[in-house]
Amino acid sequence: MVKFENLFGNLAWIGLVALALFSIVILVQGDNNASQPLINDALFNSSFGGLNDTIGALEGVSSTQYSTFSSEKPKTGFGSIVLFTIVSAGKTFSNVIFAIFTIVIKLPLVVLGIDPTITAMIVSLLTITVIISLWIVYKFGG
Amino acid sequence: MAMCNSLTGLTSVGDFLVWPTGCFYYFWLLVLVVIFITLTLILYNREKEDLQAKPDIISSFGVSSLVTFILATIGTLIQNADGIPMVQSDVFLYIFAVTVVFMMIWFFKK
Repeated sequence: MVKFENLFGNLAWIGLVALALFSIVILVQGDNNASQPLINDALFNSSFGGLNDTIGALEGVSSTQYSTFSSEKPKTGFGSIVLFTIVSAGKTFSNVIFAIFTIVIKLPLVVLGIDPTITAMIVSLLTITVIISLWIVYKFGG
Repeated sequence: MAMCNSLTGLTSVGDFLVWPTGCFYYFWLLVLVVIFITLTLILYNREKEDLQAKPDIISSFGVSSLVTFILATIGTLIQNADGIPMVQSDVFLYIFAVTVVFMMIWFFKK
């Protein structure tokens, strides 16, 4: 079973690579006065804006979750130490996973005309993977 | 279609490169797809010949899609005297979407 940090890491890398691709196009076309700049395309523009906002907000999200986590006083449980903030961190970062996936898949979905059933299947697979990996994090701490 | 019949009035390299688009709109998309497939197969076979490397077609697809994407980006900058680019924006969007899909598959497979 995939680890939650690996799943999040992979999605974050996908988001970062997609953002880099978007940025390369915008910068290169902007600097060279392209006659049909892609930034004028509504779908491209909205995907870039959404991805930029989501990845840009990651620093703030991570910082908030870290402060919450570090400020919690650990309680002793049955043969373990209980930290409830891991649940909040798990929820927040799983939302980020879905946000990145939804934004990145939007453009190929519309442009290539991928059937929504395929996306629904991928999303359901991703959901199950996220739930199980989160449960492992909650139960065993990683 | 009239401009398709003769090579007259081509005054620059840009004009010459945009000229096939007038005959067949998806000309450069087709060329880039051929480059993509050829590069993928070259990379994959080279990996297969290397005894220390583990051949992986998905990574070959990922690398080739990046190369194709860069070529297409350059293509959007080349334009003729009328300002028509070599790679039109909707053709470029196809290439961009395919690149993103292959990147996703590549990273998910990791």
